[in-house]
Amino acid sequence: MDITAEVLTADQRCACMMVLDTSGSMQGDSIDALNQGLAAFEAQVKSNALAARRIEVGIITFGGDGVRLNQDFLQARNFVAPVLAAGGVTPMGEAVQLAVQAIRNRKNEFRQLGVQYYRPWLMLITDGEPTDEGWEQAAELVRREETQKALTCFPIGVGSQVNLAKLAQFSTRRPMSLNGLDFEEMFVWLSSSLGKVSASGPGNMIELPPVDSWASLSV
Amino acid sequence: MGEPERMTRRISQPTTPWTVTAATVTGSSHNKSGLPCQDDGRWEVLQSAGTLVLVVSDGAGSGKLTQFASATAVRSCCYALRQHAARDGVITCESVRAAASHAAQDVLKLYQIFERRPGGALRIGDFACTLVVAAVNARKLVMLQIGDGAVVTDSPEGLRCLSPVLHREYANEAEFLVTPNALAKAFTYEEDASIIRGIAVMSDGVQSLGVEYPSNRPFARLFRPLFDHAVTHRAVPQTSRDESLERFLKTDAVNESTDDDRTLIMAVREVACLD
Repeated sequence: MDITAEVLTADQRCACMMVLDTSGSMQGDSIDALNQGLAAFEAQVKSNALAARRIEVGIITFGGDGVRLNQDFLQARNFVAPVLAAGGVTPMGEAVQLAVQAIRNRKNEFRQLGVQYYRPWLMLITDGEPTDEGWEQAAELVRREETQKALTCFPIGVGSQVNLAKLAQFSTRRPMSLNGLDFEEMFVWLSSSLGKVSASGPGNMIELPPVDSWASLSV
Repeated sequence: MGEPERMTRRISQPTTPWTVTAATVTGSSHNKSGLPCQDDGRWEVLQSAGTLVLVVSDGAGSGKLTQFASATAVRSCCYALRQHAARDGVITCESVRAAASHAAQDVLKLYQIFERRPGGALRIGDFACTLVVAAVNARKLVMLQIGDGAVVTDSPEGLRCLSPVLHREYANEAEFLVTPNALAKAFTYEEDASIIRGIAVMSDGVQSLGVEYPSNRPFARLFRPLFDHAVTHRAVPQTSRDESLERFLKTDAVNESTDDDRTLIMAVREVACLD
């Protein structure tokens, strides 16, 4: 005879804040490729029901509109890829500070709600360099957060004009350089990596999928 | 495909007031990625101590050979408890601790054996597994826990989770049997068992389905039907599989909630024993 019983579905959460450069230099093919990448991320992340419940994504843009919380954290199953426009300067420091604060707030909410969670990710993507005052402090803040295991930051440089030396200051790990404008491959990697993290049990040191299809390590 | 389900026999012996039923089911993520089931579980009636022992171990998904670690841990722990029962006639917190230590040593030996094999670049984490042990007789229940998993009891006072809430920031931080100081930090607990009529020992795949976080409250709409199921199946022959429990642990509702391996051992006591 079959057992009829109910089960809990209190999923642990894996939060990822994407901090995206939408400054003037991203106009044209770059912003189009970024938008296509975000659409690919949406499709990919929603194809795994468990991951779509456990992954939370947010988007902060920095460019023509200044720094903007384009999308606060929400479950990936409800994520709709935005269509971003490019223009203006590159206030990357302020954007990163906002991202760190958003991550702290979300972790506090998780704790208050009694939701278990993984170490959040911060994906920082730029094709230039910070133009705002005080970006160095923002960079130091992220490095400190990483050292304290409060988050994991992945800095990713796009194109030939990116200042990798400055970007490198935003993380304890070396920036990666996107191959051409292959945002789509990068976001598919991101979806599958977050999926792996969100399915990892206690003690699991997960091995992320290789990045060679979309990136090279900067030297 | 994962391994066939194990641990599906049921025992109901005249020499013990307990009826035990259990199942281990491979997680859907393990099936998809071709990983073996890394959970293991075992129970034994220790006649010399009049005690039923239930042991579950969950191998870490990050380790290469943790299915062997969990299998070794449960067998080694049961063996040590059998020795203690034969020698002392009783199972105590100390004997459960000693059995966990014995299990840890055996897992370590297993690591050393594998490490000597050619081409075997292994680390101790490849043998990481949890350990949850409960030993219960007519008067006393003793438990030990290292890492995730849970022990839930049923009595006229209601359902209770005896396991601690694990204080950690991130969901994938963990303690394992082979973690340094794990034995020293192991959670142990004992209480009067005279009113306990049911006990369930489980890996975290089942814990996540039925123990609320962080309140640690057992979810009655899961455990009540499961204990009822165990009671109604007392007449089933000892060697039969509990296909109902296996089927339940593979239902869509369970698969949608967890993709991890699931192990559950449940024991219910004859009512007469409570008098």
